[in-house]
Amino acid sequence: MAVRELNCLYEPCPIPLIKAVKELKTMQCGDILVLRSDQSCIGVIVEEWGQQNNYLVRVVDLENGEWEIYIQKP
Amino acid sequence: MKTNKKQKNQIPYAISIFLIALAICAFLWKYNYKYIPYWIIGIGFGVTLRYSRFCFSAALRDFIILRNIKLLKALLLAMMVSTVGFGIIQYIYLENNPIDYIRIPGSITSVGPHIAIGAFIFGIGMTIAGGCSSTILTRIGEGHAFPWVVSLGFIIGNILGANNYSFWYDKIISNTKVIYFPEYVDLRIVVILQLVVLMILYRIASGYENKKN
Repeated sequence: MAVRELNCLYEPCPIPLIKAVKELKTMQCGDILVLRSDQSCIGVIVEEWGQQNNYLVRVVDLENGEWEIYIQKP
Repeated sequence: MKTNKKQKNQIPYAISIFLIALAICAFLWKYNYKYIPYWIIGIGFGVTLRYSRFCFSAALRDFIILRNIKLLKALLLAMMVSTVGFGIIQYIYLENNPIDYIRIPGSITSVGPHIAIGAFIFGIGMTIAGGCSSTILTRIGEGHAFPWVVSLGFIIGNILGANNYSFWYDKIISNTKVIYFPEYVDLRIVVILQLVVLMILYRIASGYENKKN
């Protein structure tokens, strides 16, 4: 199980999610992608996208205005 | 990964901003009380936009890029509410006044290719900028720096638009016609018809969502 980090700070919605989807395609089942973003909307749309596509998603509110989103490929 | 980093307590900031808002309210009460409703409704709008994450550009963009229909449904609901609201406002207005496009509440303008061209340019801009004007203002309130650049672009775009308005007016807008349905059919029927069309679109969107799940 590999862990990959994707830095999407300062990128507007929904670019972090599009980048994450691209990155996840190159990953194996069970791998975890850590997405970093400063967009308040990204946590919600990644969670919704995860529910639709059966990905395990956890959003961590890091500090003032930064989020880390853990996405596990099923 | 720094998941265990402690978050700053934001309650003192919230209290101080609330007190500043109250102080501005008191100031307006003294000098121009008519502005108080604008101030309160404006803050209410901001808070609602922030917590609902409602965004006009995201409504269409999320559907096209991510196949997420939630915001599009919210947009259709908002249009239903405003149809009823504007229906009532315009009905009250038209009972006492003649039809005058400039004076009727809810800007009534001509329909033509200029709207399609403008919408296309605006659509490209707002998708790159990450939101339309309301979202950009919300982002500034959240403390982002990028929306400041976008708002500068807004100002430049508006100046260019105002500067070139005569070109668009002469070439396209002067040749187009204003279509205002209550001139041909009763306003109540128009409102009901529009609601029916929006409800059908809402049902199609819901059906698409259920099919996908």
